[in-house]
Amino acid sequence: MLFNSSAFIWFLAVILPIACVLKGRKLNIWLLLCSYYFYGYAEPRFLPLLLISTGVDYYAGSKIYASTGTTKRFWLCVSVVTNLSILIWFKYSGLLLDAVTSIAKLLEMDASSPTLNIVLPIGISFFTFQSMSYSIDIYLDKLRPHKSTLEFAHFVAFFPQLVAGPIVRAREFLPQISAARPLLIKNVIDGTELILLGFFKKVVIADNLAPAVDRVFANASGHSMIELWIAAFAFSIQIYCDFSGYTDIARGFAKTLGYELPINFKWPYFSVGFRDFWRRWHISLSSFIRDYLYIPLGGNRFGLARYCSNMAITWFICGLWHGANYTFIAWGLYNGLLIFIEVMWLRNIDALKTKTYLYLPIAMATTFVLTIFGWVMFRASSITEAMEYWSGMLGLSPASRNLEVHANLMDALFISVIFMFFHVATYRFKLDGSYSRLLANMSPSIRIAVISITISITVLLSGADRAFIYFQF
Amino acid sequence: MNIAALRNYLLYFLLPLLIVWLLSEILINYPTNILYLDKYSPKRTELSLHARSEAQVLHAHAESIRGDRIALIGSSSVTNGIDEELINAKLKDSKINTLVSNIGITGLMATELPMLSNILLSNGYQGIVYLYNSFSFSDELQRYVLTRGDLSKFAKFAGPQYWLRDEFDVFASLTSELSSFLRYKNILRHTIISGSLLRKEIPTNLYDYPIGGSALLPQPRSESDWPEVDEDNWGRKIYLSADRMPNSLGYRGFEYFLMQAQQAGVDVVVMPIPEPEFALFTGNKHGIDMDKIDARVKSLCDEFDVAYFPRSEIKHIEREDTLFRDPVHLHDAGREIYSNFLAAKLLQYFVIP
Repeated sequence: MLFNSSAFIWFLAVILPIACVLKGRKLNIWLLLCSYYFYGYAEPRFLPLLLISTGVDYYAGSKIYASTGTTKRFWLCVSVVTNLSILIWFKYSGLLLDAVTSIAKLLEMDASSPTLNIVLPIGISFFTFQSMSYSIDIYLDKLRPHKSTLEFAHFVAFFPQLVAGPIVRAREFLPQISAARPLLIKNVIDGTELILLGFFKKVVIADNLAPAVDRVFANASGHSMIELWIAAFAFSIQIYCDFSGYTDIARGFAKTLGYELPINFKWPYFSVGFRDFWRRWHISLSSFIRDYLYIPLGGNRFGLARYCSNMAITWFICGLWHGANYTFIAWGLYNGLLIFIEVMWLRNIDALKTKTYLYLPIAMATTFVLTIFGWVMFRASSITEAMEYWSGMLGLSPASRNLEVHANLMDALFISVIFMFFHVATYRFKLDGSYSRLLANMSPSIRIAVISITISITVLLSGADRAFIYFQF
Repeated sequence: MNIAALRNYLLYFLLPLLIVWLLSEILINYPTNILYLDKYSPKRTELSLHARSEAQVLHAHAESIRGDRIALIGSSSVTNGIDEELINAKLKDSKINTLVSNIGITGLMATELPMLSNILLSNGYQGIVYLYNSFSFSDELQRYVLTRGDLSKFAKFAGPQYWLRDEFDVFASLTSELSSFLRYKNILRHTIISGSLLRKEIPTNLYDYPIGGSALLPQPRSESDWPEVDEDNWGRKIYLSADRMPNSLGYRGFEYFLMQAQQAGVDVVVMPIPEPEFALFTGNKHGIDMDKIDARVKSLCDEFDVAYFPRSEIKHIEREDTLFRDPVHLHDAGREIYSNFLAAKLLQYFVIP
């Protein structure tokens, strides 16, 4: 079920009044059933996957806690292998088969890859990781097994963040589920503000940029250099608004129900360097991969060679998590390489801050431009296509040398520039990525008027209905 | 029960939605506003499919408000195949006060006629001329179409098996039915963004295609000259189901509409719109028995004592490939010839003071 669909409006119309009436265990049961309905709405056949992941991790968690040594590691493996097997089968089997076939062809063996028509379940990368965090944290002695199966199931399936994050850690969220959560007016107001902001970003900004971006990426060689840059810039705005918009909506709904989901974006396009970027972009994923992969591998503690291999593995996995395509892997490694360069050769970059006031804008602009290049790889359907696009951006292809810009791209540029203006303004005035409390500071009647007007403008200016980009992950 | 929580929910979720809904229903459905939006909506050639579809339904509504009209309704074949100005000029020459309105709607099938009955059978239209394609009586559903009509009417003739189909989004259909704002969202947006509200020149035609451009050359009349199309292809299924299923959703919708029209006392005339002869050899349409479809339609018309004009009267147009721009739509010259024919038919049939 999409947030930006009629079905979701009706879903909320049923879920929220009843949530106001119920308390405690009954409320948890109600929200769990609603979450399962939410997930199973489009494809009920994938609901068992969610149940399997939940059941295996809950059981493995209790076994890990009760065991030591090899048995403890065994149960951790059961949890990790089950979740990764589900993920690999549904998401990566096609890619693996393709890789094997390519290698076979390179070795001049007679090989052809059969077509696997495997449908990717929505949100599989999110709920498998989230569920795994429970058993891993128990193994690392950061968490005890949760007494209530119901509450654990609720943690895994909680509908606001089930299909596109943020990835929530069990140790942060389970206590919230167990606690009493009165539906406070403050939470409703703050949540509403986030929901409105999220929808605006998604349906007005992202969905209106998408058609122009799609057209250019579908035929990069037929567009001028300026058009390629505009489309790449527009895609940077599109993916940010799409993904952060979803997160805002998820956090907003969670807030109205009394839950606090972690912030997932903190003005990533104002990053100074790529280490900073990954502390601001998809924070829940980067911190997950850091805590459960990079640090256990040894991080940077065992010399340069080990550091390089750890970085390569981490960023390979980060890229691969995003999708079963070599472009995502390349994008992940691209980010890893930039961080590596930063660490190795730009150690003293922070010292420059005090030496020149130009440092910050130049560093931010450079990071943003390099990010745009990375997004081209992310968005392209193949590495060849990405290379073609990059060469066009650099004016190396014949078609790219003309200065023509089509009208629809000017519209996309206009939307992107307007968005960046407001984005800079909110950053400048430090309206936090959490709750700006703008609505909270208004009188009730003004507040209702502002909400009504925002709903009207959002519906009126919304682009054609599109799924959230990160749903495919 | 958490009264405070319920109050917060009502205040900050339900009340703003209610305010938006109420204001939009009043504003959008106010007759003057519908006429204004219809007059100043962007050129059809500038619109996306969804926006165009909404603009066409809005136009049908606007014309019923303007009143004293005969509705010429059908699919985009009607939209692009009828010169409304030409017909109205002929009626005026014959001292007829009533005007015709071209309310062709892209993708319209007979299933939709009852769903649009609140517009078509209102007091605004003195008569309905339904100009059908051979695919009009298919058993297929179109997702975007189901959000532009009255769902309750659909429920009255469509069995539960249709509600379970993938194309049928009951939530989207219900929401757009309850909210004019959502129903006309795309055309409202295009109208505001394009600045067409401020323009001085109103387009004189509502065609989907610009006037001019090339008509077809004579086309091959052998199936081997046309690519094969799988029977699961939607474009093929719409013809096949109209041909093979005498009780398809399309025929049932049509029958229900004729019953509604009879009850409302609205005069209905039914005739096929010209479809090029060569199309019978194309992948989508080959093997289709047009006579069988026409006979089924005629039998339903006879049941409700509705006038039916046969295909034989337009054969002279259907034989000429150069009067068409594609296997479905008439070209400019074809439009002129057909509009003259239709004007003569209307003068013959409708006795209007």
